[in-house]
Amino acid sequence: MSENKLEEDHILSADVINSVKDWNTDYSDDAQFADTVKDYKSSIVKKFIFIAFFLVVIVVVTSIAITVGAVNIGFFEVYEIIWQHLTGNIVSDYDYIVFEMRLPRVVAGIIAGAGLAICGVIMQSVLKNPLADPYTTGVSSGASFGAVIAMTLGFTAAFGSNSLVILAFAFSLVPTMVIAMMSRFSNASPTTVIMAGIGIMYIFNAVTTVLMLWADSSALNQIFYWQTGSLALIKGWESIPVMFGVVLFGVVISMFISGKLNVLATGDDSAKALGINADRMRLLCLVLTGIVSAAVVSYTGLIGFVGLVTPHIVRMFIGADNRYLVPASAIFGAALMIVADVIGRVIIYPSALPVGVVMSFIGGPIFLWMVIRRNSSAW
Amino acid sequence: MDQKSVIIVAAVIIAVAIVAVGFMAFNNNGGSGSGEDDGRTYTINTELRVFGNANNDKYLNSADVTFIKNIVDGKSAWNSAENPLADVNADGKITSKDYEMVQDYIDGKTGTMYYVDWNKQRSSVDYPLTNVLENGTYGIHSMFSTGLDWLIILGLYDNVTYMSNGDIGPDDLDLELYPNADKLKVFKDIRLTSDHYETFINEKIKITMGDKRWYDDTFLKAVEDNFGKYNLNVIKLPMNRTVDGITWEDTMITLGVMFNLQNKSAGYIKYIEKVDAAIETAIASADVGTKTYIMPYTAPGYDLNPMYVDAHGSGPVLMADVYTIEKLPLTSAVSVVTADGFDAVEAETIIKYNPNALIISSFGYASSKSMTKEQYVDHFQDIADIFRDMGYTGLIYGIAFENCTMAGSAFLLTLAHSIWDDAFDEDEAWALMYEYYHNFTNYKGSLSDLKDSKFAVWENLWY
Amino acid sequence: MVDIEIHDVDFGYDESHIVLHNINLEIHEPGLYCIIGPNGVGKSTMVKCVSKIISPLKGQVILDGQDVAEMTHKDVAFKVGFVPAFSQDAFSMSVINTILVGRYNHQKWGSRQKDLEMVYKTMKLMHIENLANRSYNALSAGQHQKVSIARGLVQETEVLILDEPTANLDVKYQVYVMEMLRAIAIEKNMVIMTICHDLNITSKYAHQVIMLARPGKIHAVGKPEDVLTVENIREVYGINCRVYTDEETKKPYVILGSAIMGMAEDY
Repeated sequence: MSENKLEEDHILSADVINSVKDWNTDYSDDAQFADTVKDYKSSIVKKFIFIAFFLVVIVVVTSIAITVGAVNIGFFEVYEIIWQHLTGNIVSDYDYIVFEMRLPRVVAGIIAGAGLAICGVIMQSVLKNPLADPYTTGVSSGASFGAVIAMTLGFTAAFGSNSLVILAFAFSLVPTMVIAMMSRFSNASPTTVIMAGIGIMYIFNAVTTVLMLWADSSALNQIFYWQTGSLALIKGWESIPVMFGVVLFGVVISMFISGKLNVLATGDDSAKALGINADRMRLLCLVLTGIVSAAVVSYTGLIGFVGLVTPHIVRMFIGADNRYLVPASAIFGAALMIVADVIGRVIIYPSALPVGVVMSFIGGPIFLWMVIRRNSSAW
Repeated sequence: MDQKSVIIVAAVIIAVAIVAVGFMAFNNNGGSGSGEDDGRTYTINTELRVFGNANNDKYLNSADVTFIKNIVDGKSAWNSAENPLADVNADGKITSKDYEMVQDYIDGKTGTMYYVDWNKQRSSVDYPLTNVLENGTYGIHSMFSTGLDWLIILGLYDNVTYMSNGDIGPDDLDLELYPNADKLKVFKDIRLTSDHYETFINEKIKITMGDKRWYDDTFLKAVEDNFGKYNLNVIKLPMNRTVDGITWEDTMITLGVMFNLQNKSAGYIKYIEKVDAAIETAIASADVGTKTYIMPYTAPGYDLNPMYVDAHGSGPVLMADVYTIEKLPLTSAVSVVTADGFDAVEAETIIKYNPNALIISSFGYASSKSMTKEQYVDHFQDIADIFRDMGYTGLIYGIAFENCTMAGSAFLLTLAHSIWDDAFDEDEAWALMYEYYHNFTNYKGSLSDLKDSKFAVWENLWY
Repeated sequence: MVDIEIHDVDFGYDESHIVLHNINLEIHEPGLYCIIGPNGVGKSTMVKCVSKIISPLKGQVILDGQDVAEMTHKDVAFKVGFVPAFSQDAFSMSVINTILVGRYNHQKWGSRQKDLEMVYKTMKLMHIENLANRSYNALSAGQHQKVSIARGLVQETEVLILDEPTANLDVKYQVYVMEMLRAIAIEKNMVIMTICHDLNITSKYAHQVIMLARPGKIHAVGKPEDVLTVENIREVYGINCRVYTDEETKKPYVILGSAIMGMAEDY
């Protein structure tokens, strides 16, 4: 029936009619199509291979990281000690060092690296900005503010370091909330969000700076150390549960929405036309990244670059498809963090570099190299 | 953006925050993690801060045993507020256990000694601390150049292996005063965190001493939690800065007991008493009256203006130099209360207060080998010029070391002589100063050398 | 086939500046509908209202008897597909993946074969099957556009709206795309609404022409020969012309004259 309609139309040329009829037929047996499918499937397999490779890397890196430390404990002895601890048979003198100092620190590094990396992926995707990182919306200035309050107004002296974590976390959520409120009055477009974030950052930084001007030098040193970011701030296993819970939550959610992120990347209009409310999606992503990065940063201080650089590096291997980019970034970010921490502990022995500094040393040049290497169309 | 979404967002954030905060609070062990099991604080009124110093004097000896025995035997009553250190095991009562512990200390028996630390809490160290070093197998870490002085006095100088890099690093120390200092190993990062804990073990350090501000909670927690397996003794007493009124004199006296080296510290105690007595006599004999002072504070690399002024602070690590200087009839013209004990003040403001004397205290110059006396004089002249140019006509002195350090007491009388020359005898003043340098440091010069050295108070009369 | 009705729609980005006035339109037949008019008159705005990308200040947009305002974006997405004007993805994927995003509402477990089939066929139709693994942002503007159109076609909606689909294509592909859209509209019984700038291409391929005039009103709706008249063109575009009827296609053929200053100015 429809074939007739097409043929009856004198305006259309034979070529076009044939093309369209061809388009309307079943292609499942077409040989070229089969080739394309094969190619596509193999590209997906490649992505999985990369992810598997990153997983292997993280296992290797972690297993080495636990055995690295000033005290010389043999590689296999470390695992013996862990096994002994887990089976309730604590004999070694080094049990505390391995199980209560090194292990939680490495675990925290994995969690923090993964958390910050996926925040980076989501922020870059949602704000369509290759320079976005977990701190773009002002989480860092809010957390800083909370931490500085804790350190300068005597909370840490009176109530211990948990007060710092609590205050940092609470205040780091404020910028996100402000942006959410502001979007009621304007909108939640990328520009609005970024600019609101900058405005909030300045306000918080101003107050923080004033507090720091009035602080004594010991508090200042503490603040400075915290702002650099370090895994040494992790106090054993007690810091792990909250961070782990929140980051796990974040990773799971972000994997669920990764498909939606792909749609969002096509443009707000196009996304809406595909059924996704771009503004609302963006807002929810901000909240998610705000909470996840807040949870990490409250414990470790402001570790930079992981969130910024990881998505770019992983994108080079895996491509921009968020469904693969998100999990791969989480794994790579974790590995990167562990490597940076190990380097920091080893490179200027007996002194130690906090992981935030090492990350900047690594991240800066990588970033520059990426800028030089890529051509603009590959963003 | 519709209102519904915003409300949902806000509610989600608040809910997460409440849950997380609640969880964290639930996990909170309470306390700063570096304190002892009993969060109790102690107020004591003696320089010797160990539990067992029942009679509040400067020595741990049989007098303390007798004191406790008298209470146990009912011959005297125990006033727990006045003699809190009599309750050696902190069980709330005075029993034979208490004086037995003191006797064990006196006999040098291995055990644990308790003391009131810089948080006013009960802390402990292995006793005697000399045993911990196991004849040189383990070493001592002492922060900063000023942290080496107590080691010299107690004869433990050879056991120090590590320093923290302060303003004067080990490669800049005067090797005559601090022999082999260039062989000391260094922590460049001053703040000790859990990053460093393993290093302490690896480097076989079992005693560490320093400023309260540079031991991070994470470090102290690791020390405490692992103490049975590796006994790293953190001596929580200030070694040069004061903390809540605890001066280095108190620390020195307490250290002597902790190491069971009272024979070494006794000489130091006597010396301080001599200085105190000399001051008292001088004040009593002549009518000196009180003079006002301001103590600007400088160091290599510090700005000349504004300067830090050692003020009357109320925070934990402070008020260092004023303790020493106010042994003399001097009051501060700047009664500024700051948390740090430091205030950055413009020179103009200092002039406005118009004190009788400006005593410029510094740190580092005396122990630095790269700073000669001439350079140091020039530096102080520069500072003095600022004040003179502004029309200050009072006395200006420069001291080449933090006068809250060990050497602080030594120069007091020479300074006093400059201010009140009839009340304080010059020869006696120099003799006392020389006695300190000769007995308690590695200084090899003669008396006349000393008068001419950078340790001597530099008096500037230029108008 | 989807019925589209636009009743009394006003649209403005804020209250003070209304772009579209009193738009009334009814579409009950499948076919290629070309929207023409001077720059900035509101063509994009109108089509975005239909896709629920923006909402009218006044009036209703009705799809198949249901008010778009009461439908979710997803509901509308199943009925109406949208191809945006030139867009650059921030981080680009391969062409094949980019087009696959258009299958978002169709993707289920195990549908990959079918999705890929649709994508592949559409790539062939647009003559871009050799670009399958190239990075989207590395393409030329014209290739970009073809991928964009492909992404719209794979959505398999009954209505497809294209916002300036031929702006960067060379003449050959301008003609090809419009002809193809006409054929698809017939073949699949779709309503395809597209914004077009070229009067003669519109004349040849559109089933119906919707002519918008300043300040944001519908000036004329109907068959090309009814809408593309000398008077309409003069009033709407401010330009003189002569219109001939082509013997073979029986469609109007516009030969442009000179501009009339002072007429149909943009403010």
